[in-house]
Amino acid sequence: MKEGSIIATDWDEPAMVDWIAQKTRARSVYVQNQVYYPYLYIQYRLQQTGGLFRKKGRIACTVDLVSGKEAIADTMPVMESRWVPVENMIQEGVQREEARKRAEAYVYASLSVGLKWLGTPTLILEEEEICYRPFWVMSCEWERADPAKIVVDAVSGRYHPLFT
Amino acid sequence: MNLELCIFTVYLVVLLMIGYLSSKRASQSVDDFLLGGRSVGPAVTAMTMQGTYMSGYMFMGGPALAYQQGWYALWYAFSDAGGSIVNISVLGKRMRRLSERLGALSPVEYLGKRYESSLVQLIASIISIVFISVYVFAQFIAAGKALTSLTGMPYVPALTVGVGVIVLYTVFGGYLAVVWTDFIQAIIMVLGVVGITAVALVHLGGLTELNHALTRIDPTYLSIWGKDLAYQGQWGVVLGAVLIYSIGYMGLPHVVVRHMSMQSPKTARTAILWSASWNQLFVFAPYLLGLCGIVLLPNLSDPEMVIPELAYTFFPGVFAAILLSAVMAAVMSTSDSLLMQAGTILSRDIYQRFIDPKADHRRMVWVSRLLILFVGVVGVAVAAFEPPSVFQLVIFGFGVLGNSFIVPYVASVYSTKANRVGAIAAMVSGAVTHILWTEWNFEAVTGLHPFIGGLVMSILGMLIGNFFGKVPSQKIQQEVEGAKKGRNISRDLDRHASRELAPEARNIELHFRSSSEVRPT
Repeated sequence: MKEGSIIATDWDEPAMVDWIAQKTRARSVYVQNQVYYPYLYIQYRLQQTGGLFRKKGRIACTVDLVSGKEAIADTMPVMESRWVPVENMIQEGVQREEARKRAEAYVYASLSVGLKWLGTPTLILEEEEICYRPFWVMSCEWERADPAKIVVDAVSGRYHPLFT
Repeated sequence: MNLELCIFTVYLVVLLMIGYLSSKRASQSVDDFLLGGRSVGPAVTAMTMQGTYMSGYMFMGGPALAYQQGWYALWYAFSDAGGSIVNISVLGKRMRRLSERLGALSPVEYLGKRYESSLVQLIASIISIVFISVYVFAQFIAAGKALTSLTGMPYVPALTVGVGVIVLYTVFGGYLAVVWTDFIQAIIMVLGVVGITAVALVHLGGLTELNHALTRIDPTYLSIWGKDLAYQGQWGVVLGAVLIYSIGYMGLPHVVVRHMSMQSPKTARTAILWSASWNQLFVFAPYLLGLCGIVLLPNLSDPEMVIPELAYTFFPGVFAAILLSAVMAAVMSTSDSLLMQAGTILSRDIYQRFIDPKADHRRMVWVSRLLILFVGVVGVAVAAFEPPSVFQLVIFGFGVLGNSFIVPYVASVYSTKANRVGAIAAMVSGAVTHILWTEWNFEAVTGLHPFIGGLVMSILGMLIGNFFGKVPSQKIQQEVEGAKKGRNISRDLDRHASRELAPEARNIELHFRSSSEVRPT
C-alpha cells in the first residue's frame, strides 16, 4: 500500500456501472479493476503586463505523468489523502521538473492562442501537487457487438475503450 | 458602392466574424489550435474536405481546361468525383487509429513516428511546405482575378487585398475557425455554381443543344481525346488525368490531417456518404460552364475568366456577386487550410524538432505565423509578376505532393514491413520524377502523364528501399497490426466515447500488459 493524494469523486461503483450501462446500452457491465493515474496539478495567477484586453484571474493545468499530455483544468479538484494498493497505481514516466516545464509552456500557448495578438500575460506559480485520478476498468457485453473493455474516469464518468 | 461589392463585403465580414468567434473557442488547448480538438463530425469533415479541395482551381483552372479542350476535361471531373471516396475509405479509419496509437498530432509527425525516423520527418516537412506553398500561390492568383472581376480594381491591388484578407484570417483564427467557415463556404459554393450552370444550360436550350452548338464550332470538342484530337491514343495521359485526383487526393497532407479531426474512426463511414453526395452536386458544374463558355464567349482572351465573364455577361448582378463570393470562398478556404498546415509543419516538425527542441509553445505559434506571413509576401510577388495559369500551378503542386506521400501513407497502414529507407526513397523519387517529368516534358515523349511517372517511381522506391533499411521495430509492427483490425464495437459505446482519454486508456492497457492480465476484483 502507498499513500497518495486521490482526487475525490461523487460516484460510487454501483452508480457508475448503472451510468455506463445506460450510456452504452450494454447488456451487462461489470467492474474488473480500479487503478490510480498520476497527474501533476499546477495552478498559476495571471499577471497582465500589457495588451488591449487585460485578463485577470487564475489558470490551472494538469500534466499526465505517464505520457506527458497536458490539459487545462477547469476547477480545482478536491483531494483526499488515502492508502491505495501500489500495484493499482500507474507507474510515472515523466519527472516532476519536466512536467512543470510542459505545464508552463502549455498554459502560455493556450493563452496566446486564445488571446491572439493581444499579448500573453506573465504566470505566477501558486500551487503544485502530484495527485491520482481513479479510473475503473470495466467489461461490457452487448447482444450484437463484440464485448469490450473500457476505462472509466471515476471523477467525470467519461470513458474510452481499451485498444485490444 | 455597387450591389455586387456590398454583397461580397457583407459576406467577407460575416466569414471573418465566424473565424474570430471560433478562434475564441479554440483557446482550450494547443490541440484545438492545431486540430480543432479532433472533435468535428462526419458531415462537417466531409464538407470541409471538399471545401478545402475544391479550390480556386475549380472556378478558374477547371473551366479553362474545358474551354480549351472540350469534353476531354471531364476526365479530371470523373477523377474528382471518386477522389474523396477513395481517400476516406482507404486511409481514413486506419490512419486515425494508428495516429492515436502513435500519439501523432500532425501528418508529418505521423510519418516520422510510424517510420521511426527524423529524416523522414524532415524530408516530408520540406516537401510539404514548398509544394503546399505552390498550391497556395495558385489560390492567390485566382483571388486576384476574382476580385478584379468583382470590383474593377487593377489586378495587383486586387491581389494584395485578397491575399491580405486570407493571411489575416489564417493568422487570427485556429483550425476550428477553418473547419466551420469551410463548411459554410462549401454550401455557398454548391448553390453558386450549380445555380449558374442551370441558368446557362437553360439559356442554351439544354445539354443536347450545347453539344450541337459545340459540333458546329469544332466537332473535336466532343472527343474524349481533346480538341484537334491532341491526346488521341495516349492512354497514359488520360490515366494520369484520372489518377491525379482519385489517388492523388490521398497524398495531400492538409487533407489527411482532417481525418484525424473526426470524432471516432466510425465516423469515416458516414463521412463517405456525405462526401460523395456533395461531390456529385458540385464537381461537374465548373467543367460544364467551361463548355458553355466556348459557345457563349467565343472571343475570350483569358480562358480562366470563363465563369466571371459568363456571370457578368449573361446574368443579373446579384448572381454574379454570389458566384464571385463563392470563388473567393473557395480560394480562402483552400488557402487558410494550406497555410495553417504549412505553419504547423514548420513549427512542430522542423523548428521544435530540429532547431530548438526547448522552444516554448508561444514561440512555436509565432514561428507558425511568421511562415504564413512569409508565404503571403512571396505569394503576392509570384502572383503579381509572371503569374503562371491556375491550372498549371495546381496540377503541378498537387501532383508532386501526391507522388511524394501517397505511397508512404498507404504503406504505413497496410504494411508492417514498410521501413524508413523505403519511405525516404518513395518520397524523394516520387517528387523528383514528377518535377523532372514536367520540366523536361517527358509526357510528349512517353505519352505518360507526370503523375503516372512519379507514382511508378515512388512505388519502386518503396519496394527497393525496403530491402536496405532495418525492419520496423516490434512495437511499430504491433501498432500497425492493431490499427488494421476493425472491431465490431457497439455503436453506442463508440458514439459516447471520450477521445481525450485515449492516452490514459493506452497507458492503463500497457500497465496491465506489463504486469499481468486484468484481474477481476
